[in-house]
Amino acid sequence: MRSTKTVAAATTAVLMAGALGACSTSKGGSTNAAGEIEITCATCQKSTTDPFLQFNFEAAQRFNKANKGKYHVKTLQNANAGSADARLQYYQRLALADDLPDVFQLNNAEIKSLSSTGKLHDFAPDLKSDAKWAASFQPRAFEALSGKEGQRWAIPQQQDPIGIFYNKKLLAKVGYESFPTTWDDFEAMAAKLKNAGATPIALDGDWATLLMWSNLIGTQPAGRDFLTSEIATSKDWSTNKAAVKATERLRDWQAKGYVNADSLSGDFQNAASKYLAGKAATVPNGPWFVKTNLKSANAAPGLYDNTEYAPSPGWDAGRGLIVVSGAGWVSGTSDQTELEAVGAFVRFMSSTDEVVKQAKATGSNPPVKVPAATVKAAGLEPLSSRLVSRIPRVAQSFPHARVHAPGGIDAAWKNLWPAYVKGKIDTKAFLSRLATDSAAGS
Amino acid sequence: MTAILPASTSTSDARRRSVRRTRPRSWALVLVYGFLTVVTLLSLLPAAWVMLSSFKTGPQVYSGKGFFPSPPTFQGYIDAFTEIHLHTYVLNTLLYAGGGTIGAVTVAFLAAYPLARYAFLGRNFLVAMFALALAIPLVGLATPVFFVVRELGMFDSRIGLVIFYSALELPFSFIVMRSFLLSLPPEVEEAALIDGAGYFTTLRRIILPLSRPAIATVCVVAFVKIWNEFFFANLLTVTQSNHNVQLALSGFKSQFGYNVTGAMAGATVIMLVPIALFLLLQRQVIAGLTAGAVK
Amino acid sequence: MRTTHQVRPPAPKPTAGPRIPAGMHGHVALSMLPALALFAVFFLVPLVVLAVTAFSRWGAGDFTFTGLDNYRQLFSDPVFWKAAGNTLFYCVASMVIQVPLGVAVGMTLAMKVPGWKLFRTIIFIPFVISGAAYALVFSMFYNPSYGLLNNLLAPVTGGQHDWLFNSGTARWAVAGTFVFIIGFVVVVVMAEVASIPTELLEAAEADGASLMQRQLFIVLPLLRNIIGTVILVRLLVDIGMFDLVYILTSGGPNDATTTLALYAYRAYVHGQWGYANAVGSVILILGATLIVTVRRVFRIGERAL
Repeated sequence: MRSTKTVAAATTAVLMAGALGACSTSKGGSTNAAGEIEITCATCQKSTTDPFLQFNFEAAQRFNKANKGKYHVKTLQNANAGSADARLQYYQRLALADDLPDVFQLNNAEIKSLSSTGKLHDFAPDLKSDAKWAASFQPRAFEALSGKEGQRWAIPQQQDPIGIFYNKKLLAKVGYESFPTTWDDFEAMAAKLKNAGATPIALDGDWATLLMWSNLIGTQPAGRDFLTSEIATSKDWSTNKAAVKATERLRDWQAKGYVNADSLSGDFQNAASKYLAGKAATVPNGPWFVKTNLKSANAAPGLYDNTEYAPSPGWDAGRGLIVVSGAGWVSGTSDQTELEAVGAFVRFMSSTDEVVKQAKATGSNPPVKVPAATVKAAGLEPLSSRLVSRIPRVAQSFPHARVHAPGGIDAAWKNLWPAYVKGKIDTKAFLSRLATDSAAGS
Repeated sequence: MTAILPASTSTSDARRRSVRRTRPRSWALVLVYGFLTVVTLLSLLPAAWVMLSSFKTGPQVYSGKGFFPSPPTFQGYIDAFTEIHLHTYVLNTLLYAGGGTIGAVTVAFLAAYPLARYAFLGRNFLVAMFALALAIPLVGLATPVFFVVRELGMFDSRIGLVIFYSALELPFSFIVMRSFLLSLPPEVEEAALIDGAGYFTTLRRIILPLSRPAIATVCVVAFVKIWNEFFFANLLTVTQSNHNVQLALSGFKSQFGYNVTGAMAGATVIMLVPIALFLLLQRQVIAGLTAGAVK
Repeated sequence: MRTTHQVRPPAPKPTAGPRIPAGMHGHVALSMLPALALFAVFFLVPLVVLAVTAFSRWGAGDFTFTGLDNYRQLFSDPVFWKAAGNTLFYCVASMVIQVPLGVAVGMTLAMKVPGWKLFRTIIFIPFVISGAAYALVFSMFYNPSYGLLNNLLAPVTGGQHDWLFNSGTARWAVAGTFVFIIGFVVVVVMAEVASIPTELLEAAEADGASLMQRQLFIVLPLLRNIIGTVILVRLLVDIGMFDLVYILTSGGPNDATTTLALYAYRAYVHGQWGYANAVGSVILILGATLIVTVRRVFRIGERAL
C-alpha cells in the first residue's frame, strides 16, 4: 500500500516539480565551465543545404579557436534560420518571450520589424568608438540596417548585386546573342521563347517575383526614390506612377504566360527547377544561386557553362541592378559581458580574411572594402565577379523592395499577388492594400 | 453505456445474418465496388503518390513525368536523415508522444476511478467539466495557453511540452477510462476492500489489470494524436532541437534549397508511423475512436 | 488523427453509486489531484485569461482595458468576415460531402460485401495521417507544373491549373484535402449499424421491403443520432482549422482560404494578444453555438441510454 501511495504522490510531485523546475532555466550566467564568456548564435549551425549557415558555422569554430579561454560562441539549432517565411515570426516570438539569442543574422526587413520590440542592441556607439572598424565598410553598407535616429541595428555581412541568370543556348535559339537591354526587347524575346516552347521567366510568387518587381520599379527615373523612401512611409503605393507601371507590366507577363505554371506557389525551388532542367530561359536571383543550384546535382549537364548573369534591362537603354546588403548580424542581449563577446565576434566576422572566405564559400560579396588584388588572388566565382565589376557601369542601383518596405510585405505580397494576377482585384486596390497590409503585418 | 466496442460484430452474428439476403445482387455489386474504389482512390491517392515519388530523383519529380520512379533512388531518404536530421525530430516526438501518453493515461486513470465509483458532492460537475473540455475548439485558447506555459517557464522546453501534452490528452483519456470503469461491476473490488486492502492497492492490484483493454485503447489513440500534433508544437517551441516531426515537415522549405525528394521521404516516414500503429492495433484504434461516439 | 474529440458527455448513471468509504477521503482527493491540477492550469486558467484579456489591449509589455474596442475593430475588419465565412465554408463542406459520403460508405460496408474489411482498413488510413503531412502532400499534388492532379486531368481540362493559388478554386482545393478523409465516419456508422436489432430488418424483409428500401427507410433513420455525433466531432475540427491552411496557402490568395484560427494566430504573432483573444472568444462562442444547434437538430442526448 505504501509503495502505490508513493507512486501517486511521486507522479504529482514530478508534474509539479517539472512545472516549477523549468522556471529556473531562464537565461543568465554568461560564463561557461572553461571560464570563457559564452554567447549563443542562432544562425551558426551546420547545414548541407544553406552555404551561409555552413559558413557561419565554420567561422564560429575559427572564432572559438582564436579566442580560446576568452570567448565562446555556442550554436543554437534553429529550423527557421534559412526560411524566409517562418524566421521573422520565430524571432518575434522569442522577443515576446524575452529570449532572443545573443547574436544572429537578419535581413533588412526583419531588422526593421524586430527593432520595434526594443530588444535589439544598437551598434552605433560601438562603431563610433572604433573609427577604423567603421571606416572599413563599403559606402552605404549600413543603409538598410539603420534606424530613424541613426541607430545601427546590425553589422552587415554581405553586399551583393542581384541580377538575372539566363540560359545562353535558349536565348541564342530565338536569336539573342546577348541579354536584352530594354524591357520592350526583353518582352519581345519572351514572346519568341514562349513560341519556341520554353518558359521565358521562372518566378515563385515570392522573393524572385519581388526581385523582378524591384527591377521594374528601380529602372524608372523616380523608381529609386520609391524603393528607398516612399515604400517605407507612404500609406498608399497606388499613387506612385513608377509602382503602378511596374506592377501592371509584371502582371501582364503572368497573363501572357511568360512565366512558369507554378509561379504563384511561393516556393523558389519550383521556379529554380524549371531553370535547372533547361526549360526556363531566365531566373532572377542572387549570386548564391550558383552554389546552391547551378552547381548542384539537380542542374542539367552543361547548364553552368551555358549560363550568364546579367543586370536588369531598363525602360530605355539605362539598365539597373539591385544591390542588397543581405543579412546583418544583430544582437539580442543587453548584458555587458556578453556584448563584449558579441563585439569581438562581429569584428571577427567583418575581417578581410573572413569576408573573403565567405565569398568563396557562398558566392556572396564582401560588405567591407577588400583590395582588388586580394579579390583576384582568392579566385572568386566568375559569374558573380563579372556582375560585381559591372556595378559602376549600370545606370542605376537600387535596393530590393523588401529592404525599406514594412516587414509584412512578404506575407502581404503572397496573399495579394495571386488574386491580382487572376484579375480578382485591380492595380489600385492591389497596391493600396499591399501598402496597408505590409504595414499592419510588421 | 458500454465504452469499448468490438471492431466488428461477432462472427456468429454475421453468420446468422448471412442466411438472409442482406447483400446486394451481383449486378449491384459491380456498382458497389466501383463506388468503393473511387472513394478509396480519392482518399488515398495523393498520399500514395507522394510515398511513391519519394523514391524518385529531384529532376524526375519536377518533370512531372512517370507515375513510377525511374530510376528508383533512396537519395531522398538519405537526405531526410543526413540533411534534415529527421531522426532528431523522431526522437523528440517519441518523447512527447510517449511521455504525454503515459502522463495523460496515468493521471486520467487515477481520477477516473473515484469519479466512476463514488458518489460525492460535485462529482457530476467535475465529469461534465472534463467532457466540456473535449467540446471546445482549443485553438481559441492559443494565446492564453502560450502565456500560461511561458509564465510556468515551460516555453520551448521538452519537459514542458510533455506536461502540456499530458494535459491536452487528459480529457479524452479520462472520459474513455471512466466510461470503461463504469461498466465494471463494483463487486470486483469490494472483496479486496473488505479484506483490508487500501485504496491505492486495490486500484493497482484489482482495477488496473481489469482496465487493460481501455488503457491500451487510450494509449494508442493518445500516442497517435500527439505524434500528429502541429498547432501547439508550433506555438510552444521555437528551437529546432525541440521541434516535433510535424514542425520539421513544414520546415523542409528554405530559401536556399527546398529538397523536394527529401521532403517527400520525410513525409513518408512521418506518415508511416501512425499508419503502422493503426494496422498493427486496428482493433484498439477503432475501438478508441468509436468509444463514446457510439453508445 | 485529427478528429478524435469526444463530444458527448457520458450521462451519469442514475444510481449515484456508493459513498466514499470512511477513511478514504484523503486517498480519493490525492488520486484526483493531478488531473484537477493539470485541468486547472491548462484549461481553466487560460479560459479565465481569455475572458479577461479579450477586453484589453495586451502585448509584450503593456496592458490596458479597452472595453469592447477589440470587438469593434474585429467586426469592422473585412478580413475577419472572410475568415469567418471560410471557416463556415469548411464546416459546410464537411457536412455536405464528408459526412454523407462516409455514411454511404459505412452503410455499404456494413452490408458485409466481400472484402469489406480490406476496404474499411484502406479507407481509414488517411484519418491517422496528420494535417501537416497532408498539407505537404497536397501542395505537391495540386502543383500546376508537376502535380499528379493536373497530369490526371490534362486530357479533360487541357491546361495547367493552379488550383491552390486561384481565388476561384482555392477554398475548394483546401476543402478537397479533407472532405474525402471519411474513415472516422465510416467506422462509427458501421458500429452503429451493427447495433441495430436484426429483428427489425427481418420484419421489414418479411413485409417485402427490398434491400435498398430497408437501407433507406429503416437503417438510415436509425443513424440520425450517430450522424449528428460525427457532424459534431467534425465541426469541432473545422472551427479550429489551422494546420492545413497555414501550410498550404497561409490563408491566401487575398484571404480566400484564411480561417478564424489563422486570423487569431496572426494577431498573436504580431503581439496583439488582447485582439487575438477576442478572436479566440469568437471561435469558442461559434463552436458552442454550432454544437448546441446540431445537438438540437439531431436530438443528441435525448435518446434513452
